[in-house]
Parts: sequence; structure tokens; C-alpha cells
Amino acid sequence: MNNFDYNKLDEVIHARIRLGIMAALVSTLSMDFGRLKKQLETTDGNLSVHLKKLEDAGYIHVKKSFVDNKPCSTYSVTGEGREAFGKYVEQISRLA
Amino acid sequence: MKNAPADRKTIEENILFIRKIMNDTKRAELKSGPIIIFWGTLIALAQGATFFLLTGDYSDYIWPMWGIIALIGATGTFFLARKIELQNTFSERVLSTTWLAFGISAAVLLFLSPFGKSGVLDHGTGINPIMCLLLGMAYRIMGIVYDRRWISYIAYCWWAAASILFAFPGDHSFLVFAVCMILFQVLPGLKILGEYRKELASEKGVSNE
Repeated sequence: MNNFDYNKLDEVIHARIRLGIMAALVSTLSMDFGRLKKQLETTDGNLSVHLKKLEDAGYIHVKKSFVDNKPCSTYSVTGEGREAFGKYVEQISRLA
Repeated sequence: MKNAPADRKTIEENILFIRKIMNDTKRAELKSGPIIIFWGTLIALAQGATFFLLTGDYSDYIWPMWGIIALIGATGTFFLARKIELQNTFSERVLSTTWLAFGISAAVLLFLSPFGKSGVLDHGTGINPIMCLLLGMAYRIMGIVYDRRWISYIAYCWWAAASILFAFPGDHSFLVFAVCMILFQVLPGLKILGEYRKELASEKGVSNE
């Protein structure tokens, strides 16, 4: 295995839930909160915190709308996020 | 610096996790195979029946038959969509909207257009190439959404079929359309279903690793 400084890994993506969010979003055009929650098997609060962190980092974009009079947040990955995720996957693939 | 075993384990787990989530997401978007097969089979049968009713001088039965087909189609889609649990992703919304738009366009053509008002099938053969054009559009969009080039190519098959049916109109166009439905709708639906099952199987393989 190559020597590697783990500090070089993108900390924003490295956390398990955030990694899952990014993996899900790069695989599709966009996904709503409920679907992400179901797919990642997590709680509303936990998911919200991690989504906010990714949003603050500029890795995802949120679009808020109303569907059947209920608020609906739809998330999609930004160009910056896609690039960061690609870099992260490349780095960990080299390590495995 | 030597990587600690725990770190390596985390890395390997992360790779498996990424693969699982990505497969799961892509697989979820391939769920519509049964609906595609269902509609393809239904319309192929209906088109074949229309040809035989028309040439056998039973055209009075054609209208009620299409009414029943529409009812079966709507009911079947409703139950299939519930069974396969289509996901509320943007991709699914684009696809369901595309097919809904196709369905409305087809219904207007069939029941309300001059073709329909004049007793569809006197001049109704003209409907078939128009349907082919609309299906070509739907498949082009589906190819982009599913990110599968082979689905986009099916659009060209539908447009080619439309060109042929425009060039050579006649009662036989119902039969040609039925064959096209099997080739360009039922078979692709089976392939999409196969890809879904394959990804499901590989997903189970990953989770068992």
C-alpha cells in the first residue's frame, strides 16, 4: 500500500452519511429529502445536519418547493461537488 | 507514514458503501421495465386486433375495444407503479411526465382528432406514423435520463418506422405498428428489466462481501 496522508482526504465528504449523500446524488439528477432519508436509513435531524454541511461547502444545491401543499426539498450535486467526489473516490481507490 | 489497519478497513468499507449507494440509486431508476413491457404488449395486441377487426369488416367494435384498452392501461399502470414503488426522483418525474404527455397526445389523436371524428379507421392509418414520431421523442428523452445510449438509438428506429408508414400508408400499418411495438418497446422493456435484475443481483453480491 502507498504511503498516504489521511489528512489529505476531503473531510467534508469523508464522513459516512455525507459520503452516502454524495454517492447518491452523483448517480442521479436530483433527489428529494424523503428519498435520501430512506436510501441512507438515517433520521431527519441527522440528515439535515449533513446536508447543510455539504450545502455550505458548495457541494450540493437545494431547491425548495411545494408538492401537494407540502414543502419539498430537492437536492442535486454541484459541479464543484462532483469534482470533489471524483477526487475523493480516486484517492481512496488508490489506497484500497 | 504507514496506514493503520483501522484506516484501511474504513477505506475499504467506504468504497463498498459508495458502490452500494450508487448501485441502489441507479437501480431504482431502472424500475420502470414492467410498465414499458405492459404497455408494449397491450398496444401490440390492440393494434393487431384493430387490423383484424378492420379487414374483417367489424369496425364497429374498434372504438369500444380502444376504450377498454385505455381503461386496462390506466388501471394496470396504477397498480404496477404502486407495486414497483417508483421513486420520487427528478429523473422519475421527467420520465413519468414524458410518458403522461405521450399518453395525452395519443388519446387526443385517437379520440378527438379529425382521425377520430371521422370514424378513426377510415383515415386512421395516419395515426400510426404520428404515434411512432411521438414514441421516438419519448425514447430519446428516456435514453438521456437513463444515461443509456442504446435507448436513444431506439428513438431512431421509431422515427424510421414513422417515415416508412408515412411513405406507405394503409391498413397494414396497424400490423407494422404492432410489430414495432414488440421490437422497440417490449424487447427494450425486457432489457431494462434484465439490467435492473442484474444490478439487484450484483448489489446483493456486494452486500454479502
